[in-house]
Amino acid sequence: MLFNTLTFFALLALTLALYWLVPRQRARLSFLFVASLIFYGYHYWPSVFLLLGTIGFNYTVGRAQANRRSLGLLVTAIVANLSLLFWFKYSSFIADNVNWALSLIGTGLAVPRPPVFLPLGISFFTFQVIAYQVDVYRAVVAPEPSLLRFAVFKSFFAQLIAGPIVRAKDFLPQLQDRLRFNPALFHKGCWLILAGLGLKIGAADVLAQFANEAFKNPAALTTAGAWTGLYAYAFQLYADFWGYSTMAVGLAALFGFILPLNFDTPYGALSLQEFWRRWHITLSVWFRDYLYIPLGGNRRRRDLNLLLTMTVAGLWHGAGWPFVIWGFGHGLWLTAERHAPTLGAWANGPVARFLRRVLMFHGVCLLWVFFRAPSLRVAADYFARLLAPPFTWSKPPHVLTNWLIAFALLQWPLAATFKEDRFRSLPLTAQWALALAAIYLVLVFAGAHVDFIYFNF
Amino acid sequence: MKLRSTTGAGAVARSATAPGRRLVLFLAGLLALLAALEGLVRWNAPLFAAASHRALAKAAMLEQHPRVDILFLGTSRTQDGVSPDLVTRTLEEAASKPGKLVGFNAAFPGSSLDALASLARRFAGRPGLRVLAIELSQPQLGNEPAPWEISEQPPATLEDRLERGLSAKVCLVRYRSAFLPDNLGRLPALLVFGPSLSGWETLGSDQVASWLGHKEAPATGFDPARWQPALFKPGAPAQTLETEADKQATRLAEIAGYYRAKGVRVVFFIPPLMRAFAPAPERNTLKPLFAEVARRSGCEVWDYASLDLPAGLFHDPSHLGREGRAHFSRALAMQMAGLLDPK
Repeated sequence: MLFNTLTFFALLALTLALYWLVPRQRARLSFLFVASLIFYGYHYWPSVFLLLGTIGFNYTVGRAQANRRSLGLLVTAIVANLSLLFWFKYSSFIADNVNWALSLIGTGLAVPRPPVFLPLGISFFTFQVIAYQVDVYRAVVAPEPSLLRFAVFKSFFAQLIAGPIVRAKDFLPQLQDRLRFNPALFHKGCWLILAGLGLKIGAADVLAQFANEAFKNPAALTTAGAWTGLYAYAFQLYADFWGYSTMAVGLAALFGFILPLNFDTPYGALSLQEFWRRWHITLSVWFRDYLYIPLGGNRRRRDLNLLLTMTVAGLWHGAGWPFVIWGFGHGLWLTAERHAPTLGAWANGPVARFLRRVLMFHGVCLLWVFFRAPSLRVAADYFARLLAPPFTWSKPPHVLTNWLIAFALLQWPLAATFKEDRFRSLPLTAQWALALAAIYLVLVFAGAHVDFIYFNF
Repeated sequence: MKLRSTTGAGAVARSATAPGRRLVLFLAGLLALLAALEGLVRWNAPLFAAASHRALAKAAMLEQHPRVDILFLGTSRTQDGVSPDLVTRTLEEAASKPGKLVGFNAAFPGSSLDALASLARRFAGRPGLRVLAIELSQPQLGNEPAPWEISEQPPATLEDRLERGLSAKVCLVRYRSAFLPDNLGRLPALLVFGPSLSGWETLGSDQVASWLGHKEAPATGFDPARWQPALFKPGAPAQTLETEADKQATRLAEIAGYYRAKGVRVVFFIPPLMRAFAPAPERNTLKPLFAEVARRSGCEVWDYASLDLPAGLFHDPSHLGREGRAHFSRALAMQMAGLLDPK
């Protein structure tokens, strides 16, 4: 089920009413769990069994760790969870590459391509449970004794499919006791949902039309068309995922839960390291805590750890070589940044900071080509149009330039309203104006029903 | 946007003491605003429905005029090129006892033969109409019809049913396409300025000026000899047309027929083109069609596309500018004077 559908809002309204009407915590969590299963199964109902199986398995392993912490159990849990992810997400990719290698050797053999579907959000919930198992092993959290609470932690629809990747130590305690209705949090939640929906429908879906057109046949683009198509994609991706994450935080707030914000104006970063502290924050933290640091972090083989972590991050986003190159490219850039000489005071002047932001943004945009291109050939064609002569000009559509400029400028004040109690402390007239602006975007541009991009990861 | 500090004592006190009240005020205010908007749309439903399409918008604007004597139909060439107010003022000055005349320019960019036929049928019953002037041009004849309504599929999913239900109950949703950026500009013309406009005013500034009662300046240095159109007369010999052109001529003759049957004088005209404009089928390949339209409809076709006019009158090769509109409107009025003559 998509957040940007009426069906979802009907389910939300029903769940919300039942949740706050019943006094018992167990009943509330039961409603949440059932709603989450409906939400997840609506797309493809057999996938509910996968979710239930994962919940049962990880709950059992977690409980087993309660008596005696066992590295063997932890490894078993990680291997089992990763095996599912590999089977569903990477088996076709592996089969294709094996077949390609076999064809090079000329054996005439071929590995059959497994006919698997990609369950929604498997990358997210796999990482979430791996984090849980590691945290239990490290005694960061106690194994959750209640199957219902664990099931809600694992399946809560607000964060199930595309994050934020919620840590057990942050979320499980919120499920312990019956929460009192918090009007301030509910107020914030309403705004986050409206704003997130506006970002998705009013920005991402509009920009998607231009980005999709640009990447359909890059060879036909002018240089200017290729750049504007790339800007459209950069902002589409940002608005799409930022919108989704913001809605997720807002939805949780309606139920009285606090989830972490996942974005903090990443295109305003001055360095790539800063970019990753602002883009998909919960994923960056996950990779830092559960891969980079266990590999040795900054203590030993720092550059190799960074390259490996970012390459895996690329592969996590998609089973394809363009994603691997995208991740590797980020790893190389981060490594280069670490070895770059420290910039002088001149680099912190307003003009220099602006230029650094512009450069950073364009660097990130260039790497997005790998992220968006369906194949390396398309990526190469796109780079040829972007960077190689003949440099040709075509006037971009007004709608696109207006949208890009508006979005580029408005992202900062918009992001400011998401933080803490900022929206609620605005004058009511400003709150109504902002809410009406979001409703306007939803009302006018709704109907495309474009999937959230991160549902594919 | 000014964000209040959340660290000050006042802010802390405000957020700590009245979060429930603030939430209620926010939600109630938002619902009230949405209800007010819904009421506005519901009250003006036909105008919001019309805002979603250029042709429907023009039709709705025309219907805000209780009486129109002279009506112009066509594409953007006519929309930009004809000021009905200048036409009627010239006619009022020229004729001995014409009375007060009202004109309206119902032309719109992208008009097609289908759209023309639809509008012509819609306006055929208007009382008081005396002259109908229809543009003939390559775009008017060759444009693909713009979608008037999207054909609705039966609801297949729960989402479809919810959408359908919401659309049926809530006018804000039903007429939401009126709020698209491209259509939003039509709302002031439909909701506020409509009765003051004569159809050529596409810019907001022109609409406000017309609403305030400002009149367009008449043509300066008008040379009547330069503006004599070539004529295709009804009595001309029959032409052999290709199948498509033959159908077009028949449809145009039918449109003229509705109006002539109601006593309305019908003329066809070919708007001016810049000399350099090419290719211009209006100057060659379409001429047999124009002659045949004149013959089948029994109405004259006034050809201004063949004239050699100063480039300064145009804002692009096929559209007249402000000065060109003044000249062409005067030229049309002079040609029309004969149609209104009681003799």
